Amino acid sequence: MEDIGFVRVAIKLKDESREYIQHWMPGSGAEDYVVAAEVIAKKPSTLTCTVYNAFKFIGDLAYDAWRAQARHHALHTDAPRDEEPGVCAPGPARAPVSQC
Amino acid sequence: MSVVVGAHAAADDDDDDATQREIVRRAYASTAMNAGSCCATPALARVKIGYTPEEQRFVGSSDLGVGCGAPTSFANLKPGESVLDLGCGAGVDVFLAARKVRGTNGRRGRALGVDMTSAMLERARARAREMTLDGVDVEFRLGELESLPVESSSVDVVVSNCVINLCSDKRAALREAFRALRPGGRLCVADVVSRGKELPPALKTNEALAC
Repeated sequence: MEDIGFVRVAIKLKDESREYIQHWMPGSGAEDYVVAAEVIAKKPSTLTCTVYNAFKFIGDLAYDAWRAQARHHALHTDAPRDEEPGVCAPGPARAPVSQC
Repeated sequence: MSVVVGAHAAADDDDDDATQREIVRRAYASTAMNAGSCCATPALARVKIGYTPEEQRFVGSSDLGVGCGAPTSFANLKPGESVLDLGCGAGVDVFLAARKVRGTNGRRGRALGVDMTSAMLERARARAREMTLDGVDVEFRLGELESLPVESSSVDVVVSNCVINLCSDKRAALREAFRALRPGGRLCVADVVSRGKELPPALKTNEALAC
């Protein structure tokens, strides 16, 4: 697996697997020859991937914060405007975009 | 490092590879049609494999008892991730993975199963139609582990349950899993490995080969 490129390869043998492997081909004694295992390995990160993941993480956090804020604002949209100045107030009218 | 050996002798050439693949395909097509399997764990003993009773109820008939572990239990799956199950069979680990990667806040998870046995995929798709899995895309594709029908660097996690040992070319299967993973992705496999003893002739038969 390491030859292929995997890193941090970990193999955990499950000795308790004898209890169910003995049901496979009963009488064959397969449980004496094989054992179940959990294999975990990682494909290494690249620098680009690390930077991408960092931005994605920050982006996801910002998105979640924005949604929480939007939900909060939605709860208060009916409140008198003078109690929450600026919140949900419409912005200035935009000038029409010229058609090139 | 030789990771997955199992009770299966490696084939020497392409003809042997094809023969072994056909034996495995026939054996598992038969299992998919409820014809039984030489290596199925009885229902009462399956909790020792690693599935909780609640998970067994959730997956229902897609658990055929032919696994040797519960890869979704140690894969540390998170909402929104994409998971690929190599040799998904009737879909037991795909469904369990789907439940764990189910997205929130509009981010959808993805659970993809690949298997070379059409009968298994039909069974998996039928079970998927019976389920309600919101926030996740579940898909099954026909294909072989040595040439996965999956885009490169497209999944966060590759899982597999007692299937890689059935491949005549295990290195090719692992190389394909590596290709499918995104950089930083992880491989979480439950499988059988040799205890280091020479297999007796009874475990080198065609029946054992497909077990």
